[in-house]
Amino acid sequence: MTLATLDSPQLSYSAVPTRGAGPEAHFIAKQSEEGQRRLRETHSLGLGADRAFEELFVVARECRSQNWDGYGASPIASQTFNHACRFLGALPLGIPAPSIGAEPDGHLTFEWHRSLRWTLSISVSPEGDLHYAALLGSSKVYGTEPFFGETPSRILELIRQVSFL
Amino acid sequence: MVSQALKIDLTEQFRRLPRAPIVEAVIEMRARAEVPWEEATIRGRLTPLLPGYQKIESQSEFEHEMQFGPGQDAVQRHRDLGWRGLRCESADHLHIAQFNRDGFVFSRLRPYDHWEQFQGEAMRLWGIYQGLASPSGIQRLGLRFINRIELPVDGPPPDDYLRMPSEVLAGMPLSRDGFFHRDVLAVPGYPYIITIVRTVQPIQVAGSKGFGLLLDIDVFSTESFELGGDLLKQRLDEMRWLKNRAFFGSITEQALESFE
Repeated sequence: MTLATLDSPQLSYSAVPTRGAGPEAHFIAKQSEEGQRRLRETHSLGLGADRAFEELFVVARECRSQNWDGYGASPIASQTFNHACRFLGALPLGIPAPSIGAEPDGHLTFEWHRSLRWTLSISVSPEGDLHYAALLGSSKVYGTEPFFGETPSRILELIRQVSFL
Repeated sequence: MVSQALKIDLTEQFRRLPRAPIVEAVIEMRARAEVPWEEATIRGRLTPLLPGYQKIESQSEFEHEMQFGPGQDAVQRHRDLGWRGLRCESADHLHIAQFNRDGFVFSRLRPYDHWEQFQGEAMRLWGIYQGLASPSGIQRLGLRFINRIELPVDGPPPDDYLRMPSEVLAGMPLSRDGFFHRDVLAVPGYPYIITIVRTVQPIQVAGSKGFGLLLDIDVFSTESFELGGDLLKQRLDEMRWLKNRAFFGSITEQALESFE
């Protein structure tokens, strides 16, 4: 298998294909998933992902009831959790695992933190929007990207910048 | 990696292949429905608009997840996330249209006719989707062609049909019993990505003469744009050119002759 991931943040193994309906499209999708699963099972590429999924489950479980923080926080909705699972699963192999948390408005957050001045926070909403805010040295960037099953290139670029990949 | 400049030339003519091995052609617009997306309402509005599509089925979304815990083995679960949209199949089983909460997909199965027919039907149904879902823009646009070349058992090797690395292991004369080769290619100067998969499909059904050599060309863009104007048509035309170039650049002359 060839992984051409050298000079574009959009190039990733996990790019979701255009969805076909016939038996050949299903066969290719199954083969591709199998290849990705095997890579995730490896120690060097899969360890961070396993830990991140575990953290996501723990956070979602702890924050699933109303007022989970004692200050009136909204619960994590199942849609939010599902979007967050898909977002985590769509991250390209080899990306550093994020820290995971919850916000009082019921969003789940993914954070990549290198230092006080280099940090990225992505908040997943129940609608599947990805709200991001980053400190990149002296620059601040923020915005929103819809999530349709693959990591938006803007967000992938921010992860790479903050992680210094 | 150095990328050479590339210019898409929409006037370029490609060889016509009456026996092209296309088994599925797909156009997908990934967009978000901006009205309530409820099954009874959508089905009631859609059905009278699709008289040629007699088989209309609900599609649900499933989530596959793994549960971890200290000192425990991982537990896998499947979760039903509820109704996602409708899958509509034409009476002749050649066209499949999916009207989903997160976008529209149109597939033409074999025998593929020609681009104008394929694109025309896709755009007609996309117009219906727009009327139902009121999306304001397209977040991802995809054009995918899957080709299947029948390989007789004990027939010529895949290299006779597809351009691919002839030597996998230097100095090791081993036979290639299977492969799944995937390239992801950026198009410099344009907002497109091309994914090309070459693989072998085992014998699937009775009557099949051999293995299927699959060449899957997926051209897509994740640069979102608002609806209105000619951008959708322009992008599809450019993606079609890229798809054609990718096809003719992947196939050997010997194979091309067999498709004429």
